[in-house]
Amino acid sequence: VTEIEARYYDGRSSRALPVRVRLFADGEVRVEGEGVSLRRLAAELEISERIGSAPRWIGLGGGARCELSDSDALDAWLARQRPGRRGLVAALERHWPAALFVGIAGAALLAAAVAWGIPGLASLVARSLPVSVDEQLGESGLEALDEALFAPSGLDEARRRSVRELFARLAERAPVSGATAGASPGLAPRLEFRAGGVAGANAFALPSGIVVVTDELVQLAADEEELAAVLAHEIGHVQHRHGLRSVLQSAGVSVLVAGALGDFVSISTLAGTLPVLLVELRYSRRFEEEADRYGIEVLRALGMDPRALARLLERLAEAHGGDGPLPAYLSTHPSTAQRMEAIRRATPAPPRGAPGE
Amino acid sequence: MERRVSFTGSTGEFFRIWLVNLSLTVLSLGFYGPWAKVRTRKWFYGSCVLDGSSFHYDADPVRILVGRLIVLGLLFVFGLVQEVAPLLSGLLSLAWLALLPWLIVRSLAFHHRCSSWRGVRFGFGASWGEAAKVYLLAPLALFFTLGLALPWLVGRQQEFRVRGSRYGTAPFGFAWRAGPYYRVHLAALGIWIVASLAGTMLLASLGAFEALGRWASGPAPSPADLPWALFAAWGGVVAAAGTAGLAVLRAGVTNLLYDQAKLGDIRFRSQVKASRLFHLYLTSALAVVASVGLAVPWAMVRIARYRAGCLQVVSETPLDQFAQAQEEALGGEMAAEAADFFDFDFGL
Repeated sequence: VTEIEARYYDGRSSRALPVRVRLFADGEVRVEGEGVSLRRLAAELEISERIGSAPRWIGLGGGARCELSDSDALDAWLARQRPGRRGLVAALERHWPAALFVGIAGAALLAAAVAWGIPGLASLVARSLPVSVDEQLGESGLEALDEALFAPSGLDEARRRSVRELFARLAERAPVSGATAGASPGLAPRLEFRAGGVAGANAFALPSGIVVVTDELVQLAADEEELAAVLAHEIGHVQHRHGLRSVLQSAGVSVLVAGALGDFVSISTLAGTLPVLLVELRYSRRFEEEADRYGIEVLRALGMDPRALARLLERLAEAHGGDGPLPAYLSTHPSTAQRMEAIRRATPAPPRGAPGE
Repeated sequence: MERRVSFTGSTGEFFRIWLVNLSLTVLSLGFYGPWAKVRTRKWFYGSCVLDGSSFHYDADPVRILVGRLIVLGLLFVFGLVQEVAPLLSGLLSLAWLALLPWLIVRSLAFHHRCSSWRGVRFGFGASWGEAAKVYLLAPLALFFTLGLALPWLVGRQQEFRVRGSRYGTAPFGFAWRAGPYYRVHLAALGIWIVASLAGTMLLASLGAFEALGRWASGPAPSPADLPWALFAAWGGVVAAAGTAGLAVLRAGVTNLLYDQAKLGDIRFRSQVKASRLFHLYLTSALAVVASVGLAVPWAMVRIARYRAGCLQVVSETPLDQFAQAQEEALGGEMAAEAADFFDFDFGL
């Protein structure tokens, strides 16, 4: 017989009665106190689950209940009465190693979802969507940029024609090797010229496939190869459908944060927005690397020197005054040094004497 | 006779509960969320002890899940309509607005009915019209008074929530005046402004702004050598000042809520101190940031422990005369079932 001190409530009033709960091995339960004498069987009881050391409740039927604190004694008796019906969650909560193990598993899943799950899923969804979705997405993009940033281009027609020809040659040459196997044809890259304004020497790829190159950039490029390197990079963004995929990935992150973490952090606070921001910056850097790899392959396929991108980046960094004060994890792009290193690694030393104009 | 509420839960225990809840929610892609929420609440309620008896929370997680799915579905429909027929979405916004008071009442009813002490349930009953007055009409006063009505509105909404509540069959009362709410808000605003100014002046006296001036008038101001440490220090000062204002506001409003409420002959006394709350908030925030969130359960427990310990129940008679409300008395079985069907946790 197990005896537990408890409080009895009749379910009709807020009167508390001290009682003795006696738990018998054969499943009988007796609740006895001043003016209370009840007999029940284990199967008739409604027993609340264990949550930490919070008091347990035993429903005796008809709204009457007992409140007791000795969870260990109750659980020991309960284990004999209802074998195999153990609270798994309560067991995890009770033991440090189990709780920590589940915690690490949860953190690992979260990390995996961010690193592979969401990008993979977004890429899969993007592949099943027609390119008309991309076009719709970027429909108003250029107009908005025109209003906010750009002025009409001042380049003369001859220069434009030569850049356009270069662009067409690069766009035709879709590489098929492993690194860019995910690139999908169908979204046709189109070239637009603009004066960059505050954006200066720059190039953009919009979700709709439009590549905007600024006059300043065309002038900054020392030769055709450098210009080709930038254009190939932007075509890489288009071919990989980075515009659509980044929208899908953002949606994925929002769903993950709201769904899986919504009960624990509010999205409207810094604790909610900061991780989302860091993850999206990481995604952005990944896209840049992907576009760099694409550009390198296209240049190689056309017999150009991929290190032209490194040269132009160096000049750009000088023009913009370095990478700025932000640490790497707060940037949309990998650092110039990192990108140049990656290009160098992907490029074997060029044959002597090549390439020339 | 005064009876203090005490909080008996321990931090280590809650850390494990929190960690398991968080992880299972992530591992289940959010579907465990309602169960996590109910377990958390059960633990906090169970850890609050008044007159030897603990509080009890008894919600069915499935209902919370259903409530969330309904809201998610409504939002989805809303988004779809906005995409397809933007004109109709304006109408739908109005419908959503009209639905809001009803959702608030149903949510409060759900939570109150799930809460009990000594086996006697709390309850909430207020009409949709009353809720609409307090949550839709009264906020218009903010617009017409340029926000000056805010303290009054806070009091008015407290009145709505307290007067609609009952313990068993006994209704709560709330006798309030707007003056104290204005005092609390003015104090919070004053502390915030004075602390911000004092902190800024302290930084200035340390020569911080000369550094900024030197940077601006330098030969080539580039963002790379901006005095970032100065901005960080100033941000810290402003955040601390904001926290101080928030502590004054929370302490004052919480004390007003309990001090003005009554339940039959029973009165409540809440003695939350703003200085103590400020200290708790500030150290908790620092610990949470430094631990990348792992200190959240510790912060939750210490704030709950302090707030519970500040509450006293003042009564000359024993607390055992409250009667359970009979569901039948509210309008028969049908009403009880209808209430059951419509009462969800909408997370409001």
